Amino acid sequence: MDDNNKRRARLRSRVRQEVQTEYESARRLMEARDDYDPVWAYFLDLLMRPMDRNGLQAAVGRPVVEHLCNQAPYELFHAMGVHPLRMASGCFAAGRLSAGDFPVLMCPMLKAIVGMQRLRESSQTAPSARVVPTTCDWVVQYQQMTDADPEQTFFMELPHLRESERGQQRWLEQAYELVRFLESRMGVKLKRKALASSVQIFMRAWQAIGRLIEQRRAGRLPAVWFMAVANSFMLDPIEPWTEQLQRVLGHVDAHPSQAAGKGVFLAGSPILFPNFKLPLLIEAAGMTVLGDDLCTSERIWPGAVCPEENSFHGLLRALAERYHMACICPTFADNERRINTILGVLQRYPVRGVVHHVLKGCHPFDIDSFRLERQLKSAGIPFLRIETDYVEEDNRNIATRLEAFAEI
Amino acid sequence: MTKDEFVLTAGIDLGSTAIKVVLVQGGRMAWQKAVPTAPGQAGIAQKLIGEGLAALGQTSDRLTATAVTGYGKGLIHGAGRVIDEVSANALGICRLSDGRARTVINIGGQDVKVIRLSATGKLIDFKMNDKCAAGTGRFFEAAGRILDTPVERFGPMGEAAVDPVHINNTCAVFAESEIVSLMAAGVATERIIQGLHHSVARRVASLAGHRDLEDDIYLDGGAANNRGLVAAIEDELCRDLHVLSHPQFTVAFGAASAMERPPTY
Repeated sequence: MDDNNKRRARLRSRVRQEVQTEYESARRLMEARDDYDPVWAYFLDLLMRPMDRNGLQAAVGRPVVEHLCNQAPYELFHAMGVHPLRMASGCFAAGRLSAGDFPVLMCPMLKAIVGMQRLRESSQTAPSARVVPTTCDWVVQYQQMTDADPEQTFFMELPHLRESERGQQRWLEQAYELVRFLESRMGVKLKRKALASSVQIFMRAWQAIGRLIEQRRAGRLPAVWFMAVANSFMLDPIEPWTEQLQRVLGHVDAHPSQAAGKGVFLAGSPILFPNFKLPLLIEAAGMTVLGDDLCTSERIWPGAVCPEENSFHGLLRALAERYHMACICPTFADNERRINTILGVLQRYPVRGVVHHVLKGCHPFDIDSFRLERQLKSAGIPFLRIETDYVEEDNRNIATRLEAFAEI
Repeated sequence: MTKDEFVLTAGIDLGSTAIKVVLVQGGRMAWQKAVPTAPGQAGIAQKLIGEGLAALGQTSDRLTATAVTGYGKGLIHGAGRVIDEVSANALGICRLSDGRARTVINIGGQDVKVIRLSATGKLIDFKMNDKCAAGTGRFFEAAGRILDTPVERFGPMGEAAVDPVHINNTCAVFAESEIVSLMAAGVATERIIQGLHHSVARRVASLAGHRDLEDDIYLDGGAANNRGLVAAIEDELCRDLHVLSHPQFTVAFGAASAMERPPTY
């Protein structure tokens, strides 16, 4: 091993330790909460295995296909006998392994993802394939950042203009392309029956998540627990995960928490374990998150898939339509659906303000926050924009703003 | 003497750079003092209260209640009221301006805030810098060290400059190196200081967003004592600013006022 390799190995070893510490501290924080119950242990266990391709592959007994973002239908992967693993991480320490090779103001989530990849590349088998929806600029560059095999990577080329027939058609075409790519990579043929079965299996999960969302809207479930559940989605086979979620629903029914203080809606960039600092600070400021539009939280739920016909095409079209409609990522140029969704929640539930989270370097949400601020404030809705990253040094500054926001 | 005039309350603002204590009697700031932030903030604040009571010829049993605000507010236990500094600022400036203030710009040790408030001092909206020291009290302290000039002299020195230099940097650290370069190029200290005032003013204006500002606009925080900075912000915003006496104590005063009966304007 030459000196450079030795240095790299040493850094990896040090970062691995820091990552471990970061995850364990975050878990201890969750377990030390007054509202902790053993029902959450399963989800915390899953969160402690971030992007663990080998472990997941062993648990699900299926090849793992990595993906970024939420636009590719999960049902489709499942029906093809593969398991989708979302590349996402809220780990600050992991970002150290990639920070030197990329722009300083790069999205911390992508830094953490690449760092995690590097941390595990020596011990993990390569993924069977990668699916990269062309959403934000950082995500589009993912394959180059990781030097991934282009043959193994499928770019799901989504439209930037969405609210049109053409946008809908494009989504469906890309769903067909994804099927062709996976068939060719995995050597399996997607069957109508398998797809119909997967739609049913996921429908049970979507129904359970839908109920959990309603529990939170009613102020019966703190945001951090909702996020712990959502973040662990697809970190285990879907069936046992759904069963555990049913247990959670029973627990929340039996032991609802009491919403404290002002109800707020949390919008913006993704929030990922172990970095739950913003929901925790919101809670500490005496507010309760009753809803969110984070792609790592409520937006993992595309809603019920309702095929008009049970043909292969009918199923695929229903899936494409559902994921298309559910996606309110500001990488789309025409995104009125996002503000309308927020206003809808504000009208129906006791939400008195919007906290907008912007991860430093997350340009789409950063830009969109200004439009959203104008629109919401003109409707008399208090709005607070918090720009931050994975460090904790700005906690006091953020807490000050949240405490004041609670008084508006 | 009315019943309210017998009420004596203390407001403590544990800020990032200074501890401010005010004693409020009959709705007026009867005594105030600031000392630099140091370890043992709770003890320092209590000592200051004792000093204030002695100065007013009062004893501690006359003190009706104590309110605390600021970054260190969690350090004081048993306060009658704990209030966030933005709300305290809004209430303080409202009372001190007899209900006239609608916007207040606060330049604190490590924050810049632009706060909109109602006629009764209720917080309507606010903006605050992220984790960046540019444009804050710390920024001026750092500049003072490099220029070997006490911050207290920035006001008159800046005002004396007829053609301020343009300082581009919005980052406190890089602005320091820009100042060093200007000094090396032989630029007069007065011109650099006034350049700094304009640099901070641009930052404040950018945070404020012109359309969010509603007259009357007040400036507070320790930096409001700097006349050169006030002029630069007025110039940048194209608006007049009001600065009250003791602008450093508005937040502590607001905390104390939160425990008093609201006046009728």
